[in-house]
Amino acid sequence: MTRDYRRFLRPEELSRISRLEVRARSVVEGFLSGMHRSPYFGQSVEFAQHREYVAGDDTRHIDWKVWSKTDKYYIKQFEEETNLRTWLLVDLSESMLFGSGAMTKYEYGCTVAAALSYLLLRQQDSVGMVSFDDDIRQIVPSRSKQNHLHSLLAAMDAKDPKEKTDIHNVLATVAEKESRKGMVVLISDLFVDRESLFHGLKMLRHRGHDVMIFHIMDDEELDFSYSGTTKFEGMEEMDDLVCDPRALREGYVEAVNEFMDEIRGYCARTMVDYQTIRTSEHLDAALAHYLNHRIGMRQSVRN
Amino acid sequence: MDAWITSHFVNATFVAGGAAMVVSPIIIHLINRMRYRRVRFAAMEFLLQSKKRNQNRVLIQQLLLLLLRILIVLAIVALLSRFIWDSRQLAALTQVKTHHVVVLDDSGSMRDKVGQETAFEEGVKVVNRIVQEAAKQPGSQLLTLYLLSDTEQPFFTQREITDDFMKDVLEKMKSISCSHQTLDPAQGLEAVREYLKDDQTNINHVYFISDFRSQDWLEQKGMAKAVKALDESDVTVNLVKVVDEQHRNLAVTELSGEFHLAISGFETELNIKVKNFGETVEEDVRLSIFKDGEKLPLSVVIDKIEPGAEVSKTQYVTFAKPGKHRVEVALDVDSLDSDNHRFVAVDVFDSARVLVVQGDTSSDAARLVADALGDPHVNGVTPEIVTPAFLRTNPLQDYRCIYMINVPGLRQDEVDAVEEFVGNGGGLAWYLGSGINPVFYRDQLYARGLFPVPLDEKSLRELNPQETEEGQAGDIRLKEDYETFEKMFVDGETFTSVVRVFRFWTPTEDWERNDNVRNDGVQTVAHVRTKHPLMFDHQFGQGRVFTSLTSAGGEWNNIFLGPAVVIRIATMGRISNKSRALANMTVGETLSVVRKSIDYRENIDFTGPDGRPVSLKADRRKASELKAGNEKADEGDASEIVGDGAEMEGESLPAADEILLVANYGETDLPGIYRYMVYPSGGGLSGEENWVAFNVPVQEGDLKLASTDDLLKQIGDDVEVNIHEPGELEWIEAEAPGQEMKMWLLILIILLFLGEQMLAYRLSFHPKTA
Repeated sequence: MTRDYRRFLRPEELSRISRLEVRARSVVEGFLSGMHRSPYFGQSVEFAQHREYVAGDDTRHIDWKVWSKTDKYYIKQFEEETNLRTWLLVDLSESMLFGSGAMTKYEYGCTVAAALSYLLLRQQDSVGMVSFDDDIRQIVPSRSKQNHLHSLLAAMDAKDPKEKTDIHNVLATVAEKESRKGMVVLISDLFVDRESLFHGLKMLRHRGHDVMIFHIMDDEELDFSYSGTTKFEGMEEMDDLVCDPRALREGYVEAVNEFMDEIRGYCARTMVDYQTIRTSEHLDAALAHYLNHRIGMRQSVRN
Repeated sequence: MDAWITSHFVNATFVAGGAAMVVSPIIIHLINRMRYRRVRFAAMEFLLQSKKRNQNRVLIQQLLLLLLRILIVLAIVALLSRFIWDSRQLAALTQVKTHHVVVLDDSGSMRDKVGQETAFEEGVKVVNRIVQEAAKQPGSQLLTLYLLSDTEQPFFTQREITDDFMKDVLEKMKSISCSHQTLDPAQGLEAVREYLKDDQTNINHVYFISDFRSQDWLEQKGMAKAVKALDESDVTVNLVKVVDEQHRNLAVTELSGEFHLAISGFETELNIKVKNFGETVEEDVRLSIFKDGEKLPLSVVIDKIEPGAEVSKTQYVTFAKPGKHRVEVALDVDSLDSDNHRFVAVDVFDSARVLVVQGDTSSDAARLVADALGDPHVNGVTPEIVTPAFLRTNPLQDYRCIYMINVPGLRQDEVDAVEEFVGNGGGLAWYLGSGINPVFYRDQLYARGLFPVPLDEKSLRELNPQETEEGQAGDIRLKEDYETFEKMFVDGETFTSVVRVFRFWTPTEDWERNDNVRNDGVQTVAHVRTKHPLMFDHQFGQGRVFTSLTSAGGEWNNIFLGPAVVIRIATMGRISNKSRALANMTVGETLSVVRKSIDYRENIDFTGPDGRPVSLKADRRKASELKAGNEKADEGDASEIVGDGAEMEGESLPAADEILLVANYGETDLPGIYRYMVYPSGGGLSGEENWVAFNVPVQEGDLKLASTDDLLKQIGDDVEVNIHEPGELEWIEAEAPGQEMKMWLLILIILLFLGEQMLAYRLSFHPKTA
């Protein structure tokens, strides 16, 4: 892949998504002040709460107006804004190369990753990327510089895709590498061992990361509208099958739905944001839908 | 296999090609399996999972779909090949066979010409066609064929229809000929119903093939009942018409004459009646008369006969020689030829000798009678006037009649002679007068049956002329239906208006006047106007006795002085059985010949009109048994018809225990003259020949047909019957051997298509539209 990685950021799509704000649902840690709520209280303008003074507190934070009225010491606490630290995990395995429409899942996933990177970098958040197939292929460190986008896009190049084997390994690596709480965005078709996936997600959540999954699925994978005798040649070393797809469609759709329900259920239980995106959907529409949804769910996880 | 195909498909040639088309769905299916597109697919996990789950269901559905498509092809092939299905084939699997019971009407009217062939021949064609169609399904079809003329013995009985049997039927049907008889269709249907009554194992189809004449089917209620009874016995009734319309038909309905007066060399009167049974006026109808097979140079023409009218013609023929003669009257050929001919056998005598016994020689009564009877040079009758003593001194067998004119009394041997004469068939006429002894008549003659009524001294009556009113029709009243007086009546009027009776004897007071109450065989044939009986007729032995209680001459009346003289002519001829016309019978009747066994031998030779001789050996039966048989026959048992046709000439009545020879000859279907020879015991090889004329029944000439609507109306709405019009034989193809399944196949194809589409739709993917 040469410089055509730029295809993932088409100007028309960028113009449509640039007005969106990416807001983290939970408080993330960051080292840059930004638009995101921080778990640390600071000297911002946004009042958070009063707390009774205890020994050791900075006396500069005592609210003297309250002392004058109540004759007690209260500390005045403020929200501290910080930048978002986001890791994009992009699946570059063989199965992602499937596509019945204009874009393959790989192209679509990379476009999503690029769009998110652009948005995050534009608002001064730092973005890192991990591309993987059977193992981690490349790790792009987290940066918040605008020119970091090129590094990210370059990492999305898929050569000699391989079968996914152990996604747990990939997720564990990310969890170990990023000790601070942040946001982990997994962009994949999730055709992996479910146990490994769930184990990895659990680990990320355990580390306090805000996990978001963009489940990229092709229309044919969801609807299976093939007709006529067809030989399906399996990707990722799966068996071939000659069949009348209409006869198997019902069972296929049922199996896919079971698969998605299982993932959706697990995500709901573990507070992982999950979104299925069809490759036929417009990217901006999908992102807008998702980000608005996140805003609606915005709440503090700080207790 | 070829036979099966040809018997089940009209277009058998399509079948082979069509059958090959059956493999087309399979080939298409296999080709589809071989030709596929390739798709690299990621979510194989779920596809394989689906395959694992649905493998059996998918296989079954695919096979079902394939089967439906094969069936569609088969159904279309069957439709194009015009498949014929017979529900009886199903029956064949369950050992139930289709039984075709055909009743072929072979009555005389079926000789009606329909085009070039007769109605009977058309009926035979229908029978052949039914058999031919049934033979296409060997092993499941039975045939029973009745001819209406013989409902007791079917022509074929439950024969399995095979190719060989079909050939046999076609051959034998050529030899069957139509009878000339009047037959009862109801009897045929009843015979079939009786025959099928216990047959619950087969599917029975009855075909009645006939011309369906109005007089048989509409004028007899029995027909509707017979059809209904048949229908109720779970039988499919088919009435097959073979005559399309009523045809013109003239018939000779009567050939009679004064044959009792037939004397060689003198003219004999022939009375001929011709009836127009058609619906149009017949003009210029010409009759031919044949005497002993030779056409007479006579021109008998009837100018015009209205529809339904009967016209009489009188003609005279002269027989040159005495003996038996055959007379035939024939019409020109028309639709029904058999009734254009009528036959009569005439026994011609060289002369007719008549005895006139006068009791009072001073009276001219005997002379008057003798003069009235005729003259050997004028009419061949030779009257001889004798005294009573002649009766005991001379043989009487050469005389035909004896006229007793005012005979006071007879000696015992004279009475015996008269009794034997009459008993052997001679005629006897009594004319009373003032000279008779009423006590002798009562005690000797009445007591022995030679005289019909008892008399006594007080029996003499006088009729007061003053009682006669102006304008009244004479003094005597004749019985109109007495055959001897038939010619006396012209349009209901008689010549008796001028007859005057002054004096007469009358039976004793205790004698019952009513013939029906008395029931002694004596028939009162004339009364005087005061209701007193005057003339009688009764049978004695083989002879007949005519009695007049008034005189023969002008002493007591003027009967023999005026036009009423014809009375004597009629009387003379009729009372003598010796000179009667030979028997005239209807075809189909049994000719029974009865003779005393002591006088004749057992062998009796019959010869039909076609010259075919048949020798029969007569049965020996007691006279009492024969009498019982006669009574039984009168009650309607047709097992033995002895009576009307019984021939027992020249013999007195046998005693009850006397052994008689009885021969019944039943092959009398052909109209014409039948002859039979009986051989006297001591007569060597020479026998006595007798002739009997057999003619077709008059009613067979009435060809008026019953329409289908009338038939249905007569049979009733509640009776399920199929009436097939003449000339239409397609129903045999459609019904007898099976039914073409066009409509059912179309419905089947539509259903199969619907099923295939529904299954295919179910097995295919259809994206939801917004």
